[in-house]
Amino acid sequence: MVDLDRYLKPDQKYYTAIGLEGSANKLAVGIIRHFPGQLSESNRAEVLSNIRDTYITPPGEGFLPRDTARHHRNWVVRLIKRSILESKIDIDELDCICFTKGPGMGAPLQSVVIAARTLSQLWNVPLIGVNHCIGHIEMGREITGADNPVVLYVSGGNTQVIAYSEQRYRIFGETLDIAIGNCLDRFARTLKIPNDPSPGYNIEQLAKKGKNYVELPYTVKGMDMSMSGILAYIDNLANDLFNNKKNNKIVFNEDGSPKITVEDLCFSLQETLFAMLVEITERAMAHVGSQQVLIVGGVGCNERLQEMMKIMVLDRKGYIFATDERFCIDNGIMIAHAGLLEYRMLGEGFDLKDTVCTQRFRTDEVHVKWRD
Amino acid sequence: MPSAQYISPDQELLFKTNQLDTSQLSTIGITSGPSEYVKIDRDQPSEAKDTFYGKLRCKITNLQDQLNIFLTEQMGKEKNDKDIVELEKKLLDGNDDE
Repeated sequence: MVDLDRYLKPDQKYYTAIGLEGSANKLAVGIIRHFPGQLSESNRAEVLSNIRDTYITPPGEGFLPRDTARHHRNWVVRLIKRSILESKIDIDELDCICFTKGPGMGAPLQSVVIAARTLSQLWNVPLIGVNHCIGHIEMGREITGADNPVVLYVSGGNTQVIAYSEQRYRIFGETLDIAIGNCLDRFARTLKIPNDPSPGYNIEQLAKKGKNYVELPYTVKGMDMSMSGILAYIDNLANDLFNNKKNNKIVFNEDGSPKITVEDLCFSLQETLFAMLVEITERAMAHVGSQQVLIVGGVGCNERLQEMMKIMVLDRKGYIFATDERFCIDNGIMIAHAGLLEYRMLGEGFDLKDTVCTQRFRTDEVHVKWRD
Repeated sequence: MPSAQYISPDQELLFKTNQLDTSQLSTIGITSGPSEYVKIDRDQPSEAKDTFYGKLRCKITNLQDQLNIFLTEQMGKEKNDKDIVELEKKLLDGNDDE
């Protein structure tokens, strides 16, 4: 058993950390409390505050780094103030300030890390940089109680199948080009559907009304998968539908009436992409010999994905774990949680010069000292 | 009061804010606005209060504007307009695909 309390001070009753997340278009602040001892059923982390503000663009548009960074810069102080008020903590109770070191978009990450560094110097509190993917995994494990699952991490920026081995989260399968959330979001732009609350959520609602499955390319490649080809193909179908290209016989009947609807396209895209995810997850489960699957990341909120994964997992007599939108979608509490675990093992924060952020930060680069 | 120093082989410049009339300043900067793609802007900085920190915020916004305008002009002296727009776009929106 790893000792998480080697740096616990004699009269210290608990640890408290604040986490700042801003690697994409969500700016989030979370405050978490850990009690001494191993985290377990009887010793769960306590969420004191978990708030978020999302930068939402008009329909048909994606978010640019410069506008996203501006959103984060102008909202971060408001969110931090609200979070501290809501949690009712004193600033001197804070053990560390955790921030997303990466991976993610450059300018937004930078905006948030500057806020973290400023607070650290202002309040004299140590800084801990956290890998965004590790944040999702550790929060998923903590909330669901899954202790050693195969993790499917699916979001707008990442698509990875991960399993833990010897103090690292190893990537068993991943996307070869774009992330699944990116594929769904870009299709939402083609359809010009609203981005509020998120494009993926709106595609999910449309998909529920789909009736016809349109066959799309299925591109699983061993333990990995690729999605840019599917996106190009379905964008084409949608554009032919909107532009009345009657010679496309997949989209139009002989008499010129449309064969398929936007709902059918959303439904077909989800079914195809999610089936591919289920396949590579099953492959990892078989490879690793695990009976647990944990779904994390924004796309993990999707109920159809959860349902399809559940069918496969139950078929293998396993267990499936997923969280709700408070923890699936990028949040500050996961950064605080993973950062606090790292802090408890280090006993001190990072040097200021080591608190740079990076757009590329592989999940297996992190030495997971808090597990054995 | 916030200031910044620029040192290059050709020149040394000091950018100051202590001589400014704070009643003319605000937290909405000329160079820190949204891009042309933003139609409804809900991300503006909050207005400054009439306090020491409020005025400090305005001065910092002004200083940032001074620096941004100066640096853009510097870039302009080295390259022609089309390249500047390209470089500025690359700096602001980043090489996120690489």
